[in-house]
Amino acid sequence: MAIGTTASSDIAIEREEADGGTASGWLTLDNVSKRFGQHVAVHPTTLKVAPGHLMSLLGPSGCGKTTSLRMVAGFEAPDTGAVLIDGQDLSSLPPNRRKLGMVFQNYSLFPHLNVSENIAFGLKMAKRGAAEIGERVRTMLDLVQLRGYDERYPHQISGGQQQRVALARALITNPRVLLLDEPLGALDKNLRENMQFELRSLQRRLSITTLLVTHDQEEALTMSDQVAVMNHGRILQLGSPTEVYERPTTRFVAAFLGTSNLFEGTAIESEGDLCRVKLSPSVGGLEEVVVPTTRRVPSGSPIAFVVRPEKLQLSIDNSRKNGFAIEALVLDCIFRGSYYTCQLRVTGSNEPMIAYLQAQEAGGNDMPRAGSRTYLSWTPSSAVLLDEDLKC
Amino acid sequence: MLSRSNAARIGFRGAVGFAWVLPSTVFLIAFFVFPLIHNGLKGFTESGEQSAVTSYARLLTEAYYLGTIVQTLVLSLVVTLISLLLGYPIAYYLVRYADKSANLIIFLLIAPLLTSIVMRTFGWKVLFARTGLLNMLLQQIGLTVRPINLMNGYVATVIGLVHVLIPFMVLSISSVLRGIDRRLEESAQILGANKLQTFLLITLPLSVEGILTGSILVFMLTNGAFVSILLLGQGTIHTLPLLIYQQFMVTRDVNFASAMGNILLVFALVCLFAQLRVLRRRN
Amino acid sequence: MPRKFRLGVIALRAFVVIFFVFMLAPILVVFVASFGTRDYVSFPMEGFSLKWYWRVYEYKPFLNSLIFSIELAIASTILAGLLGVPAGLALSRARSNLGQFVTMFLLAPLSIPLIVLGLALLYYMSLLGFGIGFWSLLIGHAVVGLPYIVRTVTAVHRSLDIGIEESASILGATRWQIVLHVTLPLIRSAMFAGFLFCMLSSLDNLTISFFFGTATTSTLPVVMLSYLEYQFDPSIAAIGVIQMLLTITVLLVVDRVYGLGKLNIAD
Repeated sequence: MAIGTTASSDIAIEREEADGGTASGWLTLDNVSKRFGQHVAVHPTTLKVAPGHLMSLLGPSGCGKTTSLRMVAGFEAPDTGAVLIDGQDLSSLPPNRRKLGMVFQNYSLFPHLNVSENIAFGLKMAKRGAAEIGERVRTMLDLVQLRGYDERYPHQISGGQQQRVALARALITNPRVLLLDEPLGALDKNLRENMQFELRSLQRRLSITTLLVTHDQEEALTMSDQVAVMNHGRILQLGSPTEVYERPTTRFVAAFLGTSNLFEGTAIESEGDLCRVKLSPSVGGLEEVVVPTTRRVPSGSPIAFVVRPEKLQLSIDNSRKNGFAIEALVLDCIFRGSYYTCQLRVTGSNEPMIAYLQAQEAGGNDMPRAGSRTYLSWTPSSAVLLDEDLKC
Repeated sequence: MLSRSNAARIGFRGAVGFAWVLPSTVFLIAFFVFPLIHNGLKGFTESGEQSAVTSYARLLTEAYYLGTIVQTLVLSLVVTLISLLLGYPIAYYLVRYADKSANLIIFLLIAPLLTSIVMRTFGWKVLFARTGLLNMLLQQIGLTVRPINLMNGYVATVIGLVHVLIPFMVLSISSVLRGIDRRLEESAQILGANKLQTFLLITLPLSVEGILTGSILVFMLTNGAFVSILLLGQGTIHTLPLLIYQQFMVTRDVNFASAMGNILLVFALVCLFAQLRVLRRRN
Repeated sequence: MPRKFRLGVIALRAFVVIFFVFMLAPILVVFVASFGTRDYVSFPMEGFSLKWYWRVYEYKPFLNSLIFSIELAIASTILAGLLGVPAGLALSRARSNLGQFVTMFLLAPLSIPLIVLGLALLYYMSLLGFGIGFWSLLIGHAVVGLPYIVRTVTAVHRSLDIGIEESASILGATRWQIVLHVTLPLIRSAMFAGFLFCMLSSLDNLTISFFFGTATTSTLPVVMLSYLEYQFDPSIAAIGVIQMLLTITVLLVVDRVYGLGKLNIAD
């Protein structure tokens, strides 16, 4: 399902020409906060999305991501701060004058209008001429691969097609910023993966600043230039997908993005970019371990670090590569297609540890059997120190 | 921070602002609230025979008028009870057993509302009259030889009122019944209850809200009922609305009629208040 | 299925059938009686005659009041609609106490005994200088019919996905544009159901109309009532049938053109 390059680059050129050719579309949330009665939905937050970038607001339901999006759209008014696009304060503008595009969670297509009327709606409200509307709708239909569906009604097309109509409808007015509210949530898994790439590809080609709200970490990691992980109304960590995944700063972020194995202890001493940690409780027979750190850690301060499942190395013997080993009991190994996920019980930890083994590594006889003993280790750089000062 | 547009500041609650209720609210205040207040205050400035105080004193102390008030309430009670007893099974059937015929039943319930109340009441007169249908049937069957007077005013009025008001009862109850989870009844049956026990112990208590809503509604509507009593009562029934009509047509004693109206209004307000309590309980 | 249970269901079914015979009886009887040949209503029927329909046509008050009633019903529904539809749209999603209070207030005329309201309106209107006549009747009927419209519009608008209106707003539509292009088309069928109920309540309204009746401004129910006080002939049946057929025709036409959908009356 490729998207026509000619059509989208036409539109990209059109956008640039309309904007006078300068890079535009900075979306800024400046110290924006919102409370509903006693409940603080969004603590004062500042956020900047660069022109043409896609930023995801990622978090569980109730974390404030949807409220933030709605404040950008104009459906909620911030209690403090302002929403700005290219420096222009939007506070005094109602939603219909902000020149934004938005795709809603359930698409919210107009049931009484057919596909082309749905797409044309924004232009019709702007009182454009019929000829111009007709042509731009046709371009849009091509762009989202729905040529021929123009007379159908929303209830006559599939979920994936509805989503594309919603997208076309949002983009036809050349908005400065695109807002996406869990756009792929209603689709089934296969379709979702395809659409992630399509959506991202389209967004890139049109070079449109985009804010995406989702609870699906895979979606956020796949599609974004930047990810802002939120919980309880605060942004806990902001960074590129790689940063946020490989180097989470808090327990919540570590747990929310993928699986992680958590270790706790106290700092013994730190020297340069390494910190020696005393594990408490000791894990699988391991008392001390060395963890990389970017800051100086005072002795005695509480420590937490995580190791991703794919970074755990299993060996049958206690060969102590990396200088240490943790004794573990294999609970079960499940085949997941391209890898095995293994649950391991380790003394000193209530939760089982999780390890991923590539299918090639562990194929056939080498796959650990349930009940067998194994030894875990990891390269020192695989451990990620968490910032315990940040509240989850 | 200043804003030029209220829409952005207040937040979006749908396309229409709250100010759109103003025309209708002002309209009702002007032509609904004020007239009733005006009616309520009437006569308090006059003294003697015409004064409000005298009117209320008469209404609440003289046997005839007290009797009228009592008759109004009793009639409402009777109609409500009968509507409940007859209407509950219909509502139950509608919700539990009627699948294909549900729409038909609802249509049949609403259909009488499409005809004039005068016409329907006239129909009852025709049924009960000396030369009417029922008499004809009875004679044909051989139960009677001569036409008999079936038009006992009270019975005919009650029948007429039940006929008009029972749809309200059925719809109130059925909407609540519809909300009762079938699985509660099924659980009870699995635990050993028979159909009757299930009904008495599970279904009936859960439908109380519908019973209350419907009953209050029918009670309130009977209080204010007028046409049926006028046409079917044959002068044997005296309720407040009828008395108001007579006061207006015959004696032209406006203050007295107003006072009676106010008492009726108080009853209606009590019913409204009761209905609110029932709704509040649900929430 | 246990036998006792089956008997119970059969009995219930029989009861339902008898119930609907009871509900339809007066209407059918009137329908039949309208074709009687005698000068008074009598059974058994001796023949079949359309003379009472002819009589309706001849007896001017019947026809005039029917036309007047229809005009009044349409006019009062238009007034109630202009007032009630915006209010219904504004109140449908109001969660505040004020919103709920206003909703209850707008529905209040349903609960007030009409005879009290009629009497009160009569003297109030004369105080204001409106007197009796078309305008007073118009206002009175609009007051009584307003709740039907507010109730239906509120119910159906509430069930509409708010995202649809929000989408329209983001796409640039002003409030008026949203209402015109999105909201109204989507609530149209329920709105017409509300209009229909409002018109029916006006057509059938006797109690309020009675206070304002004059020679030229009597509505049909009032005329029928005074006719019944002196005569008991089938012409009442005939005019009743005519009114009923008119109502059913309008209902079918509106349903065919707009579709009435499910009527949520119990709420």
